[in-house]
Amino acid sequence: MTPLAERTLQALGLQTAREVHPVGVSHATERVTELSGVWQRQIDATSEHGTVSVDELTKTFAGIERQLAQALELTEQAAKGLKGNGAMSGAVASANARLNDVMAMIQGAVEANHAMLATVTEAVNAVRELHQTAQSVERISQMTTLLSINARIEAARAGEAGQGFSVVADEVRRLAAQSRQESVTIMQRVARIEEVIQQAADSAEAQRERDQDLIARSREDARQILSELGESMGQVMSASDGLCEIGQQTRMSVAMALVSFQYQDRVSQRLTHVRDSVACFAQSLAGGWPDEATLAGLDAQLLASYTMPEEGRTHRNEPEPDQSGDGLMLF
Amino acid sequence: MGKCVMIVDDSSSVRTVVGIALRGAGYEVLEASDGSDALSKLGGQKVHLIISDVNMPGMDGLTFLKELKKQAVFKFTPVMMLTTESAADKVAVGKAEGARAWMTKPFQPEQMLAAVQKLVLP
Repeated sequence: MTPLAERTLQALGLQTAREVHPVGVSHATERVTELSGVWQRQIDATSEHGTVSVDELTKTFAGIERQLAQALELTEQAAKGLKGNGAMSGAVASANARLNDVMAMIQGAVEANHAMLATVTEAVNAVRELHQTAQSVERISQMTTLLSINARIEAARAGEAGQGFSVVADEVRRLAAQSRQESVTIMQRVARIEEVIQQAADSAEAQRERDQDLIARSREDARQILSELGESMGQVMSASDGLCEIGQQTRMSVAMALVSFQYQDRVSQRLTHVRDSVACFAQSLAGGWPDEATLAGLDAQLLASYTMPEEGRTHRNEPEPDQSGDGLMLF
Repeated sequence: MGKCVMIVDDSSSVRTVVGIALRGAGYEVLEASDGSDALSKLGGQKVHLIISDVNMPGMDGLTFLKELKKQAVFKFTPVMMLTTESAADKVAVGKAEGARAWMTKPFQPEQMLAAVQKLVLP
């Protein structure tokens, strides 16, 4: 029996069951007394079971709340890692810089090829000049041949006196022919060189065009890769933000569920008050069935034992008012 | 180190709910199951606020408040009663014994935290 129940019995002027002689107590009263013991035990068991169960639930939800808090912390750290200090933009910038380095290397190679092409073009020009020089030599040898023919004609006119000069003219003509033959050979060889160099120049020019196309396509690929990378990272950040938001909402839901477990304290108190009243009633039966004054006293004591306004309202069968205010009094 | 708040309540679930709200707001939390347990765990150690239930087995909240205020070290320690009890005479006793606030259950954690922020020692 609780101290409150004992105080109730004292206020009603009743003795405890142990102090009352059982003689004169009717069988029905004894049965009600036994039943009241059953009621008290059932109420105690219900209260105990409810308290243990709610305590377990509270601990479980508290654990979920802690795990959620940890998960949220990790998610927020990951999100900060992506966003903080320009980590994501830094990664994209780093990739961009590396791609730019590669592009610069390709550009350097293309420029080297271009320089080589310029050198080849110079060689082509030099060969052309050589070809022109050989042509000049051929023209000179033709003119020299004509000159030697004219000299031989003049030597023949001079008769005996021109015989020596005729020998010289023949020799000049032979040298001119030989010179012409050499210039033709030179021109043929120069033509072959020119042809080979031109092929090399054509090949270099074609390569330059291919390189320019490669650079253009590489730039476009790099731009697209970086764009897709940025988009993917944006999606990751968006998903991370979504996870944080859902996590916060779930944490709030868990917190709300935890708040609801406060009902256990209220249920426990209600059951205690009813159990104590049943105990008082059982004690009142010790002297026989209680009279009206005793029952009124039990009713008044039960009302007085309530700690929550809603207990009184339930007792009087009154409706529950809407909850308002925060129930706080500052002194 | 955060400010320390003691919660005294025989209900484990209420201690858990209050503890989660307080720890989430950065407070350190001490827990006790009734007045005697609270006095034993305090052992003269200062805290920044005490939140106590009223109806508890063993030493109830109002007796605990009276015993607490007998000790000079807790003279200025704010105490908020957090209880299902709302009887005016009990509230008056609490006020007379030195409680700084009386909040009735069930409570919303944000309301409780707002009251804690008003009462907690600097």
